[in-house]
Amino acid sequence: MTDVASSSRSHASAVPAPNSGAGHRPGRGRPTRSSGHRGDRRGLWAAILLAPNLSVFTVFVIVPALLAFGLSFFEWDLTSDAKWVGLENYLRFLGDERALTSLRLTAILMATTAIPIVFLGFVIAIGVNVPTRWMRVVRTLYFMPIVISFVASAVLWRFLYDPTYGLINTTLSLMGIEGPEWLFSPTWAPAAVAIVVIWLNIPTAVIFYLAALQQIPHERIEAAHLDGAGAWSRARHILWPGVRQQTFFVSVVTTLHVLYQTFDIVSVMTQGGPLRSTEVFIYYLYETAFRSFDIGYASALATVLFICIAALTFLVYRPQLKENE
Amino acid sequence: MIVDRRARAAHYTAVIIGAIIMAAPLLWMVTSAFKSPAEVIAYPPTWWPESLQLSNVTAAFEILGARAFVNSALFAIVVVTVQGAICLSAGFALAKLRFRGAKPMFTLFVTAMLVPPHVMLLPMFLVVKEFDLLNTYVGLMLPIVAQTGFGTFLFRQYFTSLPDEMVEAARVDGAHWGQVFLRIAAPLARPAVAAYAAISLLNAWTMYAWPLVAARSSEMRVLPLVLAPLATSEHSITPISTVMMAVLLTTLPMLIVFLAAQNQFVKGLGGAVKE
Repeated sequence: MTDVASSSRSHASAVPAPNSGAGHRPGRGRPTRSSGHRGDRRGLWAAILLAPNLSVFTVFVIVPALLAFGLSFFEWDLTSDAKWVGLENYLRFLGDERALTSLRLTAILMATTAIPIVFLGFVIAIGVNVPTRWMRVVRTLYFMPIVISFVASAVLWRFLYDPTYGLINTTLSLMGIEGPEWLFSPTWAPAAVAIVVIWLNIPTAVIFYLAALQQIPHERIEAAHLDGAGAWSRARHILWPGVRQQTFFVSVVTTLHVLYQTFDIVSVMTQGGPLRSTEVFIYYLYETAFRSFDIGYASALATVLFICIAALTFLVYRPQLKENE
Repeated sequence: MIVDRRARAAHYTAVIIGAIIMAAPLLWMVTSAFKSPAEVIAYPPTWWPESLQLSNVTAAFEILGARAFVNSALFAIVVVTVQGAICLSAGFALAKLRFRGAKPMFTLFVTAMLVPPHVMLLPMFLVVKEFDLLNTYVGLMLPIVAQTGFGTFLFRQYFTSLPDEMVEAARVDGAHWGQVFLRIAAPLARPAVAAYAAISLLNAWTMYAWPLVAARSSEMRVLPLVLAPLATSEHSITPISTVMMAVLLTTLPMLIVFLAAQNQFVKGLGGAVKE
């Protein structure tokens, strides 16, 4: 959800200074009478309008991105002098069982949360896609988790999961089921984190799908209905293919969000425990950077993660960006 | 769509049961916030507080502190307005000024938008530390203001969807680009600004990781930072009811904003992937 960001270096170097390349190229399809160039000064205005944005963006996004990459070749603890170690940090990562385990856990959490979010988001969107006033109220109930912060929800769920007093286990015991130890069990704690993530992300998925469903021509659904197609068949053959693009976006956006949402949730709810069973990659990265002050190694870990994400988004987004141009 | 009566009844029942499950954690939070320390852990649990424990409000407020509320509000307002302004102007320039380099620059912002914030935590911290701005408002806010990927993307897309004739007409009348932006484009962007404001307000209000590393001194803390320790066992002396009241108090402002501007949230969340 947050838009904090980084940049790939190849892109950074491809960007000219805002005023350098600002020629008077007439835009496509622009009426010729208005492309009188003299006094247009579009280069100057582009520079003025972009300058505040680009200057802070450079200092706090591009420079840090380059800095992280550079520091990944050093050994540094913030106090003594940084020492050049070449690729040693990266080699260390390949042999770091703790890092690899946390990376695997992150990937598993991404996959196991994205699938239910997509499925439930789609089903709920169909369910609440009825234009009555009281359905709007019901819809609001489904949207509720949007307003709660990851930290607040982690505090809340920590008590919902309480084995003795928590709402979940008391409800289960009223039904005659003995609930698990949740956050105190290395087996159940990752599942507990996944449930919170799913709960937090369903509303966004519902919003995406509602917008998409409302764009499917009503006649097509009506026609299928007259042809005798049942609810399941309509959902399967008309609605699901009709929202294909949203499914793509929901999966991409969710998997990216899971990466950092799990940090907030894990650091508040479990601190990576018990027995490191919920230590996601970014939590390990945080520990390395801000508890061990192993700056060089943490930078290498960040770079590895950045490369993974960049490769993933590049592969996934390229056809989409092409399509939209 | 659904003609059959029984199918309709089944549909509505399922939708309502689902809504109750989704809202249950929050409903539990609200009722628990008003229970007594003993009632909140009673078995079997009570549906509704036996008597409303309003003293929980003061107890929770004491734990959170007025300072954290002020810090959070300041942080959110400054980030939304300053970042909004610089994204709006940049989005306009990228969409309508058609200068060379606009496309790669736009790609850069989109790339930035897709990278999770926490990857940048350490290098951002080092830059702020270098400027000697740790535990200051500037050090807390400016690096977040600088995360302009999403906003620039949103506004650029919005301005691109506006017909060129709107700006061209003003250009013919002799207005320069700055006037076109301020007098014509910016007012037209009202819906996009509302959607952007809703989303970034929520983001700023709930932000945890950056304040955690950049401003953790007691007088600089924002709400998520004072809330987080309540989940740990060292805080087990605090009654659950008080903790839930603290969660409720920090969530309440966003809940109110959300109920008042639900459409803006929906547009903002969906707008990021318009097209």
